[in-house]
Amino acid sequence: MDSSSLKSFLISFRASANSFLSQYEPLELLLAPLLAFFLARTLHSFLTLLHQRGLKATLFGFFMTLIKLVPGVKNYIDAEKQKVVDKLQSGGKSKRQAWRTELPGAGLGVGVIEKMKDEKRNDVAWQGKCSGTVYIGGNESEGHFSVINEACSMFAHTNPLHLDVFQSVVRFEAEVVAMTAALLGSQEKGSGGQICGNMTSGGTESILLAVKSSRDYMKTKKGITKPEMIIPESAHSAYDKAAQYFNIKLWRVPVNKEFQADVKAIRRCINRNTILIVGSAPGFPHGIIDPIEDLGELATRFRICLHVDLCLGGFVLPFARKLGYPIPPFDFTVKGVTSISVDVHKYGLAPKGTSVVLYKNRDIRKHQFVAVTEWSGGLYVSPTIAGSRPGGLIAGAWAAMMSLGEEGYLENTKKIMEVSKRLQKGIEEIPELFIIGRPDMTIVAFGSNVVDIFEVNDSMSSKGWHLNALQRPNSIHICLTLQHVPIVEEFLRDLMESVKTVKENPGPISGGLAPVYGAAGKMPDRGMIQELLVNYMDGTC
Amino acid sequence: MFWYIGGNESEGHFSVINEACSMFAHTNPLHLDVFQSVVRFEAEVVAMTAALLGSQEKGSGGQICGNMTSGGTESILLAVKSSRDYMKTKKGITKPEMIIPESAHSAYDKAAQYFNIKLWRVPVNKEFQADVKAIRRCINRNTILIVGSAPGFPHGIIDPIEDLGELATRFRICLHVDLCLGGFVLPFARKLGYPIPPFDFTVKGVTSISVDVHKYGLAPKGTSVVLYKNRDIRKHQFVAVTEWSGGLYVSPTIAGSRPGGLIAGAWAAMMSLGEEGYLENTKKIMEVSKRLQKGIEEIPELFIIGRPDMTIVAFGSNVVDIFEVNDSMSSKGWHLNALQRPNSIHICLTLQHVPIVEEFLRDLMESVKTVKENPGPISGGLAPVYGAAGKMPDRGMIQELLVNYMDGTC
Repeated sequence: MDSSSLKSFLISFRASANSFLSQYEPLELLLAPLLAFFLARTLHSFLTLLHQRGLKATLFGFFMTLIKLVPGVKNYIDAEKQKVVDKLQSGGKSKRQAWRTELPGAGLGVGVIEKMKDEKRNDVAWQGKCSGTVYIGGNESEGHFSVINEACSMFAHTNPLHLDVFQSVVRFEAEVVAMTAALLGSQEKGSGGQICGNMTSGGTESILLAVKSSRDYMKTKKGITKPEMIIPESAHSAYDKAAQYFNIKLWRVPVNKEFQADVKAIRRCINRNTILIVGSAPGFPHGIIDPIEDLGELATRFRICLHVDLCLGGFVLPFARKLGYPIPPFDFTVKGVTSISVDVHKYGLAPKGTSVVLYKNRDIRKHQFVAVTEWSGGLYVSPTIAGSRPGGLIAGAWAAMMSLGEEGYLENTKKIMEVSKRLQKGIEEIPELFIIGRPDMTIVAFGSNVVDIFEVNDSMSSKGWHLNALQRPNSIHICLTLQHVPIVEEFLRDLMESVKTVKENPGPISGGLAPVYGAAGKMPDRGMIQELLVNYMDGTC
Repeated sequence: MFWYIGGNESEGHFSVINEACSMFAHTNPLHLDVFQSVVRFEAEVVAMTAALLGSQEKGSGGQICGNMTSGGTESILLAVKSSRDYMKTKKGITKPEMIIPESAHSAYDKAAQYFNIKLWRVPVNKEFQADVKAIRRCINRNTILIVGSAPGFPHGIIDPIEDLGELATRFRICLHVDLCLGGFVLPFARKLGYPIPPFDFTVKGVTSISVDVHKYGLAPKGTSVVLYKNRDIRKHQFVAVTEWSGGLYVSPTIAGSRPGGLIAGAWAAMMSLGEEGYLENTKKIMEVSKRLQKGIEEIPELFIIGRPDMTIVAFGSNVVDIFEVNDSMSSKGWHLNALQRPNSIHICLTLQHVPIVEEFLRDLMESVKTVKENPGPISGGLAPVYGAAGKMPDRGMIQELLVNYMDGTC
């Protein structure tokens, strides 16, 4: 088309458009687009909410809000909530009335130790009876415990915030991080050779830092200001905490039939605001390793971060692999992994309060640090969440790793893997129970289609066992440690008895928590359950 | 010196708390039902600390509650996070802002970065206290929180908490009082008759307080307490998770699992000292602070920053380069803190310093003399670095330098 025909086309278009629009009021023409814009926005927000929470949850949430507006209903609901909270705390309240509320006038001096011994006797008999909890074998006043306690005491006065003063602790920390990284492929060719990290106060802090660093790294790399992260339903609750703290939208995606992370479903949730996906090795609920290689491919393809949660597995899987157990790839040698969290205070047998967070390279890790230049207190830079830190615990972690060495960890791993296989076999022999998925490590989760598994849990509790209650599906698990090596036959006997008891006398046990767990699972108003949990915690302290 | 407990680290008070820690080294308060002893210790430490800060007084409302944390930074982070979520519920604020004096701890910057809060750091007034008028001017409809320190870390001066409380009440925002340093000194100093302005929950408008037990509380490192005016605010500190297949989960503070041994150590520290023990210690450190302050005032080349209320004495110089004095003191084995705005150094006195204050003053006089006679950077000293950082206008570059420095250490 030459310019004159284009010109005449435009003129005639303008004329016909104007004559068409002249049938409308100018005000209408002004307001219609604005109204359309607001409607589109509202529709978009509603659809996003729907997509996020699902049709059922949105409708239900709306319904519940309406109901609560009816006078009297809110008070009734609050009263019922309080009843549940009181039941959960059963008897705790009266004990707490007797607790001290002020400093004693005169100090007890060294006599305080005797008082503490008395208090300690009130603790339940935990040796060998708790899922997880204590990972070091034997008595808490001997053996390995003695070594790490002495190490802690020797360095109880130190604080790695003061790098120039306590050089010993700085060295211990660097060596713990390096030794841990070496277990997870830092020295292998495929990892890139730039693995770095820090010690933290625990798995939650390691996870929080990994998420925070990923958020800030992706902001710099891709300009993402409304970050989102996708995790499997089996991933730890610390990711929810990170999402709440750091204003990140969280997608918790149901697992697949094998109870592993559903890579296809995770793929569907990825959008231009996604900063991070997570895989666990293994996951806490069922002890199953997620398909880390597939998640790594996803992360690489979409150029997002992948965090591998090795809080539980970090000090078991490298050794289990050496011992010949079939362990899929899980560490920095997997392409796409950008960060890893490992708890030294679980199977690393270090004192509680020691974990490690590792990063693929220094570029990502730099976003973990906080530098402050405008404080009149001076120039300040802090690597992790805490400022001052107890150097004693770092010394204890170093002592644990150095006193055991690779041989010690191999020996321990052999024992706990064998006891796990023994336990799994024992549970498989109980026909009323089924094992969840295919446990890769030392956690065995089991449910039942014949009896109420939470009533079995209550029965086991009455025999002195402390197991973990899970949901989706309703089940319980035990996390095996060196504490359980001598008692696995006793456990199986008590379990068989509990199943028999519950089968013959179905129905809640007085004082048991089965009704609470069962109800929480069925209740569609998740917000109310959150409030219940908060009220319960509020009442304990 | 960087520890607060007197004497050798293998004797006396240290021995008691080490034994307490060892006795409970296997415990983890995450498992409430298993380790009842530690749950009790924690509740009692929180209650005893709250009582020092007015929880039992009429003016405080009677609903003071709190938790133990891993340190001052965590206490501050939690107070900020709770205030942010509380103000979101109360006023619907989605773009939160907080205002702090320039002397407030760097942990507030960390909180602002972590929790997406806009931070205003307001210069102090001529007395080096929080400038209430200037803070007032920064308040807008997105403000959730203001902060006052009692005392501030740089100069050891208590901010006007009552005035800040009035501001907070008037604008219906939160006020956090940073008693990380002062929590275990000021209540006792007040009892001993020292002139201490109001600072605790009896001040109207205070919504949260942070107190470090592991400073002047003489507890093991890794123990602090965060307190709130009432349970409504504190509920926002908790994180409840209902959609995890691992079960129903609720966590009170930042950490999940925690070392119960440290909590036992804090309880042992407080119970073994008692009110009498703390009064005695406070008397010693207040007296040594006054002695030190007097000694520095007698050095004509130096001036003291503001009017120290407690055990921190900051001093600068218009005659010599104070950072060169710092380098000279470092070469004599002293580890002091370098400050900025104005350039100065400070010492934070603890029981460790009671026997050596005269030695310190002698070394200080010598250092000043040395630097006066031979001005110019000492080889290997940090004076040029501190001096340059103060003058450099590109603050982003200094941030990068700090990050690279930290990156290189580990």
